[in-house]
Amino acid sequence: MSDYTYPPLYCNLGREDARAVGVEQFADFLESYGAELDLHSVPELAANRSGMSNAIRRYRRHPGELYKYTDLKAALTPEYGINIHRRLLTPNPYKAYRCGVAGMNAHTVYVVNDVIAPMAEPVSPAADHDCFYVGPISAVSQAWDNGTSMLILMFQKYMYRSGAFMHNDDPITWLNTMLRQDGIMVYVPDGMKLKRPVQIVNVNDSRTPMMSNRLLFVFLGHDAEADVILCDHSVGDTSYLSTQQVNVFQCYGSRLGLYGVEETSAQTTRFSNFSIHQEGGSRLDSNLLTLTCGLSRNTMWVRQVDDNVQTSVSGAVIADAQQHADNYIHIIHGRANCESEMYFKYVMGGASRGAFTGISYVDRNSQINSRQQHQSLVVSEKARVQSRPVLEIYADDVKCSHGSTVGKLDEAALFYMRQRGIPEQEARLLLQHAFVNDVLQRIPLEPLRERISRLAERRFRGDAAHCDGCSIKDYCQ
Amino acid sequence: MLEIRDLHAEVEGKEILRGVNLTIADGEVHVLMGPNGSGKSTLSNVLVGNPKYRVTQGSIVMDGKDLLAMSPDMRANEGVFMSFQTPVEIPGVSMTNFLRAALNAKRKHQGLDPIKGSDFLALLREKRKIVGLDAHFMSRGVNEGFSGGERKKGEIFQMAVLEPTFTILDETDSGLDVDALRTVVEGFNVLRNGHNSALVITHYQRMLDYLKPDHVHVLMDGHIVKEGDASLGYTIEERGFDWIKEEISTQP
Repeated sequence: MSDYTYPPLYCNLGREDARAVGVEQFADFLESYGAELDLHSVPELAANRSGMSNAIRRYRRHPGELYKYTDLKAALTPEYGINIHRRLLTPNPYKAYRCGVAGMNAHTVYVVNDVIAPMAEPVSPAADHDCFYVGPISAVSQAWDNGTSMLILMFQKYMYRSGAFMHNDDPITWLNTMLRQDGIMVYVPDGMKLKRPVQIVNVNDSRTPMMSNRLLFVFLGHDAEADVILCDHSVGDTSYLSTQQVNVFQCYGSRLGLYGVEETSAQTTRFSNFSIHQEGGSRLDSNLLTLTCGLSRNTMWVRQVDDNVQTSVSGAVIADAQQHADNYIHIIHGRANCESEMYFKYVMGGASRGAFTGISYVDRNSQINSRQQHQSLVVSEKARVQSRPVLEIYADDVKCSHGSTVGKLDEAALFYMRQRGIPEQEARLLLQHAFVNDVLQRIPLEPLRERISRLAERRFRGDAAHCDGCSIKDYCQ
Repeated sequence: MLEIRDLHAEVEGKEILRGVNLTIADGEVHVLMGPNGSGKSTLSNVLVGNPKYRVTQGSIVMDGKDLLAMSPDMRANEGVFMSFQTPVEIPGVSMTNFLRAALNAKRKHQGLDPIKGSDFLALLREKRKIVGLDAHFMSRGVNEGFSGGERKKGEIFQMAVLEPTFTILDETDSGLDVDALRTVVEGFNVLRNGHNSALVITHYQRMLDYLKPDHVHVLMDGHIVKEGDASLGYTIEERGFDWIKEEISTQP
């Protein structure tokens, strides 16, 4: 590609003279390249870099309970480059990758590494806050209303009124805040029910080891409704490190479907942090699917505010070889008639490692119903899975349940299927697919549900999991 | 033609079958009776290749082919079918997908292309009628939430779709009420075509009434100790097994 006629301008993070390894090397990087980073960043996002850098410097080797099952230090130690000058390494990703959800007719945004490609259907941020917007945060920052940046107005309208919106005790959040340069905003105004889903396709694509840091804001107004699909891909066998911070603000009565599908590579280390603020009467349906990965960690903090909040977070992991997948879900419950559910299923093969932590926090003033379930199938001798349900309850009038099972394939069912002529490998595939399929069946968008179910089946068959018609696979050869 | 010769088998190190000899010709229905623990279910599990059971001696040959050398799925594709005593639930795998996978595996074994979707659905509709199974069972997980009677009907329905040449009914009558039993056995009889054969394990006369078997065998302590026609079954219903035991003990 033409962009490769001269090297992309990036700076190595893990320099030989680095004073420390692990997360501290990034603070060193900021010291050296902060000014250049700022030059190519959305100004509002550059504001708090030094604060995060200081937090990282204070951060010591022991990561505590938050990263109990994922070795953060090891994950962050290798050398990566940053595309600090924001070059779009694939000139037309819409044509090159063509990752679309068949029949979904989605508002699609491609992000190559962390650079947002010009959209096929660009939407402009509207001054009156009455129009739907999906696009770069930089465009919102550059739109002005009576002398104030639209981005600042957005922050004032949503983020600042929720004091505890951001969860700030996570080194990945610090890292992302410190290094991100731009991001995507999805804004759905009061009362609007978005008919088409928003699909954000993140593609790691570089010929040299690359770190990318993405930010996503999702603002849903009162009684607004939207579905957001996040797809993660990696091209080739380059090493990638990606951090993603997703900040969601749901106003009263809003409904959000939030779906993540990861089909990256063995050389990809991916951290995705969600901070979700749900006001009264709002509903969140989230489904996080890890099909292929190197090291993958989803951290989701959900804060329910007021009454009648519903939160459903489900997900599935299909892992083999040396893959490592970790889901950490923390729900802070609201007051009266709030509900939450966590439902995760893992199928672990090869020498893979899986971890799940589900934390339900119930304040003394809460009246809630909370369910938590994590089930794993371990289909090889060397695979391991860790499951940690945590209930922290200070109220009397609550219903909280949790369950965790780790087992093997049902040998009786396997034999029954073979007796009907189904070869053993096919029978195992059908049983494993059936195991995770009830998680996938919770996705309310039918085309997405069917596509993901097909992807999961292909994954079990050992085929690379790619969407129909997607040409990312051609780039992966 | 199925020929079992000097078959010895053990489960968890304990020998259960101690030299079974049995020949079932094409088109014949044989009934296997015997007291609890005599090895009836072991024989049926060995025939279908259940890996929990180990054959230590003997042979099973079907239509000239060594059944013991085949995997369970290969045996099934060669035409062996067992109606399980307690069919397992397989949540998440719909009956439709399950049977499509099974039928296409058999067709592949026969060198045929996978069945067309519309043809397959028409086949399911036709075969459901044989045992009166409602359409909604097709989209549910295999045996998931089925009553005892529905599971047994489901087994005969699967048999109807897969059209085996040799069928084992392992206590298919247990747990069925009179009407359900009639439906199941009448369904089974509809599928008899003069070429396919069956081994039926039962304790009850009612099955004999419906099936009209060609031969009845009595299995005790891992051997076939007595053989006869359907009248042997009725005698056992009337007198139990003790007289056979006495008969054996008085033999030189």
